Amino acid sequence: MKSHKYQLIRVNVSEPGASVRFTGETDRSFDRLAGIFVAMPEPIKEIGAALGLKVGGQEVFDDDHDVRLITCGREVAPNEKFFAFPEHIEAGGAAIEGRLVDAGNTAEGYPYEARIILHLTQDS
Amino acid sequence: MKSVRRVTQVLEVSQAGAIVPVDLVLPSEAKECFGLQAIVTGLFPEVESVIDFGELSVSFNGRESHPIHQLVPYESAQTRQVSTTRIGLLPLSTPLVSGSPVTGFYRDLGRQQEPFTPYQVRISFNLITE
Repeated sequence: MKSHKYQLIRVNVSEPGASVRFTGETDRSFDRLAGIFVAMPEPIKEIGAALGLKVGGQEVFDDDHDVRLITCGREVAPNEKFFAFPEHIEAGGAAIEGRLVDAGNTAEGYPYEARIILHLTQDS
Repeated sequence: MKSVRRVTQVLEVSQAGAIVPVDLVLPSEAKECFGLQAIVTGLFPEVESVIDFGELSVSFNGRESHPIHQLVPYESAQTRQVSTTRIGLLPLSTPLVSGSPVTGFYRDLGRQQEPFTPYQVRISFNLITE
C-alpha cells in the first residue's frame, strides 16, 4: 500500500518580470517525489513563465523550463493535473531550491501567489 | 527509469517567416531522448489558438536520426482557461551518441498579423542519463 501527501509551496511574486527564488524541504515521512503541479492565478501569467527546480541538490527542471509543462487547463480533473515524474526522485526531507520567473505579460494582477504542489509518496 | 535530465533550448523568433536554427550539444551523460515538447512563448491577442503556428524539425546524432518534423501549435490564454487537457511530451526513444550535435530548425508560419511581435520557442528535451 502506498501513502500519499500533497505538499504546498507558496511563492509570492511582487511585480511583473520578477525572478523569485524559493527554498524548502520535502516532508521527511515520504521518500519519493512522484509528481508536481503549479497553479497560477490566471492563464495569462503562465505564458512565458519559467520554473527551475532542484530537489536534494539534483536538477529536476532547468531554469528555462516552461511552466506550462507543469500547469494545465482549469477544466482538468484535480487528480489529473499533476505532471508525473517517470524517474525516481528521492524526497524524505530533501532540500528544495527553485526559481520562478514571471513573464511580465501584464501590469495588472500583482502581487500574486503562485502555488507549487508536490505529490509525495511512500511505499509501506 | 533511473535518472532523467530535462534540457530547455530557447529560440528567438524575430520576424515573420523566420527560419531559426536548432543547434546544441546535449549533456554527454545523456543516453536516450525519450520525449520532447516545443512551446510558443508570447502573447498575440489577434491570434486564435492554432495548430500550425510554426514548424519544427529536429535531428539527433549528426542527422543520423530525424524523429521530429512536425507542427508547433499556439494556445491562447482564453483557450488555456477552458482546456480539459494538459501538455504532454511527444514520446521518442532515440538513442544518443555522446557529444554528437542536435540540429534542425524552427520555421515561423506567418500566423501573426502586422505588426509582428517577436517571441520565443522553448524546446524541452527529456533525457535518460547514466
